[in-house]
Amino acid sequence: MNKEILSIKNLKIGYETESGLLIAVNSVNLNVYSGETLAIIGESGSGKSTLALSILRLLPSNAKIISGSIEYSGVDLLSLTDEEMRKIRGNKIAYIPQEPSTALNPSFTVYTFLKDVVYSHRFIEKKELKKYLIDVLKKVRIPNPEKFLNSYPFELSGGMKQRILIAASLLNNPNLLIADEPTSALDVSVQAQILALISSLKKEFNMSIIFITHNLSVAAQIADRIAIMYAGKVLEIGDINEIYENPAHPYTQGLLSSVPRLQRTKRLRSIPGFIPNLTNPPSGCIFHPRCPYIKEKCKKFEPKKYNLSNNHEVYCWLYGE
Amino acid sequence: MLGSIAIYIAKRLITLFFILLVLSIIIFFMIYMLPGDPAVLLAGPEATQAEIQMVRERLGLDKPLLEQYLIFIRKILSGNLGESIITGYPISKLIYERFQNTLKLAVFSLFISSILGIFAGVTAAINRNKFLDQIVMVLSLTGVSMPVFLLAIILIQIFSVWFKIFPATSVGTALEFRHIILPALTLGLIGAAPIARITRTSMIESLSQDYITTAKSFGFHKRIIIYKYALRNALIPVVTVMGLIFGYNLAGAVITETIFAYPGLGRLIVDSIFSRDYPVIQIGLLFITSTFVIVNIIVDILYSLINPKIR
Amino acid sequence: MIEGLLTKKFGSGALYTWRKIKRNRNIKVGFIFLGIFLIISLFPWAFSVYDPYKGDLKESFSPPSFEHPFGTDYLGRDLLSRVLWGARTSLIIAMLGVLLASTLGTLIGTISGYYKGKLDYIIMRVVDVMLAFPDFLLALFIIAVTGPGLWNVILAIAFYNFPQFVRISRGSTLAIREMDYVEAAKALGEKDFSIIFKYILPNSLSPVIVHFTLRLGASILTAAGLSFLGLGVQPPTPDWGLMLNEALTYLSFAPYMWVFPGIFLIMTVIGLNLTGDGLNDVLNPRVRE
Repeated sequence: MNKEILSIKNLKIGYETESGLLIAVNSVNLNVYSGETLAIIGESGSGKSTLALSILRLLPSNAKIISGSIEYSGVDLLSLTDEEMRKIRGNKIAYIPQEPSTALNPSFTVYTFLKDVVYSHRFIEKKELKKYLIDVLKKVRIPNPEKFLNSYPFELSGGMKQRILIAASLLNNPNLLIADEPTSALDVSVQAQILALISSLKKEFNMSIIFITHNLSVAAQIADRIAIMYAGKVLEIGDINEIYENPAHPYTQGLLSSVPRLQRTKRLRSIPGFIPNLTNPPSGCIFHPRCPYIKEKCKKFEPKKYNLSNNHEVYCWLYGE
Repeated sequence: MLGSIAIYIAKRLITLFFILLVLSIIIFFMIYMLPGDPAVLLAGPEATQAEIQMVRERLGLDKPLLEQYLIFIRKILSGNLGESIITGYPISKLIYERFQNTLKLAVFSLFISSILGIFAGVTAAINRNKFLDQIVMVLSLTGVSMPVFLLAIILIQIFSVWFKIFPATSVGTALEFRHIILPALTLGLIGAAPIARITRTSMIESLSQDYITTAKSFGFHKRIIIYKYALRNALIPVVTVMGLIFGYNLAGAVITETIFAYPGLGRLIVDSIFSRDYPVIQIGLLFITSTFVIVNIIVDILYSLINPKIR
Repeated sequence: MIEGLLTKKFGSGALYTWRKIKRNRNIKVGFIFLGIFLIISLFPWAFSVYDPYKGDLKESFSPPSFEHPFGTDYLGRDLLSRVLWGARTSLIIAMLGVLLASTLGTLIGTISGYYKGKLDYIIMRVVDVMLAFPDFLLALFIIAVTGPGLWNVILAIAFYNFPQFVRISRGSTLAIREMDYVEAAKALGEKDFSIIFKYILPNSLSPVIVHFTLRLGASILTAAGLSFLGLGVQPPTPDWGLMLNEALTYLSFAPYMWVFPGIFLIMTVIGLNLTGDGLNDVLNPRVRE
């Protein structure tokens, strides 16, 4: 049994908006084990990005962490000072942003940026640094790394920029990598390359990865376990193969059957209804307004965790009492 | 992409030429807008009939207007700017000396404005909506609303009368460094206000960019994020404002120079308005306005050079 | 009451704007300063009994006291009444000057923007040249030609504000003339004159109003500056700029001669700038990030 590297307990995060407090992450419990890739799947508004940003405390100023804890190697990250947190970012835990085109400062070269990433945490001699950078750039399959170091972001394509960000995240040998929809802004062919790259790097650098995506097939290519998020709650979590073969939660079932397949002759199925208003979430099970198997209980009581197997949990009144 | 910049520069230069042309025409015509015989006006109050006649011939005042204008232009372009009708001093020398002083004042004040303004603006931006921000905003509002002469009086009261550190004027002595401090401080404080405002706005925008969050996510030190990553991009519009203020100081430090009796170009013009020294007024205004226009166009061009690279 | 009137004459849009104006903090604070300025400039005699032109040399250079709350100047004139009447001078100069500039400027700018073509080109070139001058120097140039004096200052103020109003109203006009309802009106055969007055002018008013308020402040400063140099309002007319000039000579022992006119001057301009900023926020909202 692998040990936990990250343990999220009862995390509740809200955003202050003009119409009230919007609950984006609603009492989430989640563990990440060492050496694995956990994919967090959800549609927009499910809270997955908020969850990812909260681990490194990168949330905007109108976000409030209402309750809960995020434990990394036994330390609650939420209780650390700013300086202690800074030492972890980009160092022990690294974050790859979603939008590569705006993530890099247009006034600085790749070299300046990568150098700053390293120097923020440790010191290496200039010459060694350059060699090291070129090494890492080669690992992310960037052609002609020497010339690359002197380029400005506006000279690079989306795929290249994403590789730079991946390279930056590896520079200080993190234990945990958080990839926030790293392929959503890229086209499909580049997507496949980046995914393959991440897989191979994971083995080489011996990291755990939290991979945020809305795309089930992308998750299928890369994840060991997946967590399904909806409206701020985790509905189902477990081994990816088990879930894909036996989706337990009605929402997961809906998700899987709405994936378009080449041989399908029937119409595309979607899940009827809309995401609930997060400033005033529905009582009981958060999915009940859209659930085809709804019972009276679902409207009143929040479902408790039910273990379908030792690597498959679901939160639904269809299972257990 | 380079081509479009070249076209823009060309356009601005054409505008520059056109404006200078119209400027010279207007200034040339100034004499005619005044009541009285231009020859008398240009010869001075002490001139004899013979001298007046000489002026009339030299400037071709009985010839058609267009010819007169061309003579005027030719004289200027050849460097012969005439003499002051009050002192007889050659105008070109006068302008040369005075302009140097105004230039020194303008540079020194710009330096003060920039340091103060940028520092205040950055402080306000990183403490947004908190106490320090409010203070900076109030101070910059005051700076923008304050008349130059009021600030000058306040500074004189404090530094010359109460503390007796700096002299209020440089009359009767050679120009030393201590004579430039109060005028530079006056212009510097006033100029700091718009710089602080735009630095603040620009920094706030820069700090809200994605690349700042990225820098934070990689664990950069706060000081590096603010002063390297955010400030660098934020400074672009600030530099433009600095250029404009510089141009303004060069041209318009009239009041400041007068209060402190500072021997600059602005004060020269005011003095000559009082003494009706028309040749000096004409050339002085022409020179000052041309400088202002040229500086503005340079700022325009520089901005267009820095900008497209980023966008 | 005002709200009822506004809605009747201008529709509910005006009511909404009025409410926003009432809520804006800049405008509220600015209006307090402005209110003071307006009251003392319109009713100076209500606050002081002394004649601002008559001085009692026996009383000259007296510091603030019960009889003379602001003290007296070098000619023994009561400074309180000089400050109060000075407000009136500034009000007259700035108001007349900017009013002149804005009416003429808006008219010409609107016509220029509406008809475009050669006329527009020429007008814009002239405006560009005028805008090429630094503010104060343009006013100074006018004074150099006309000589000092109250009315010449008003002329100078009008002159140097004029090009900005042309530019602003032209910009609005260019935008509005492309709007659907203008095209519709044209198609229906409405005359140019009525189109301009019914549709274009009312809708281009917001930036003009904001600019008007801001230029009032700048004009008061410029006029005071000219008077300070001796090129504006001439003595013995009470004027803040003049008073500051006089105070300079006696700085070392009569600081009250500049403190009070200085305070009132800066408060008035701050009031105008705040109100202008507030109006700008209300009438020209920018999208917040």
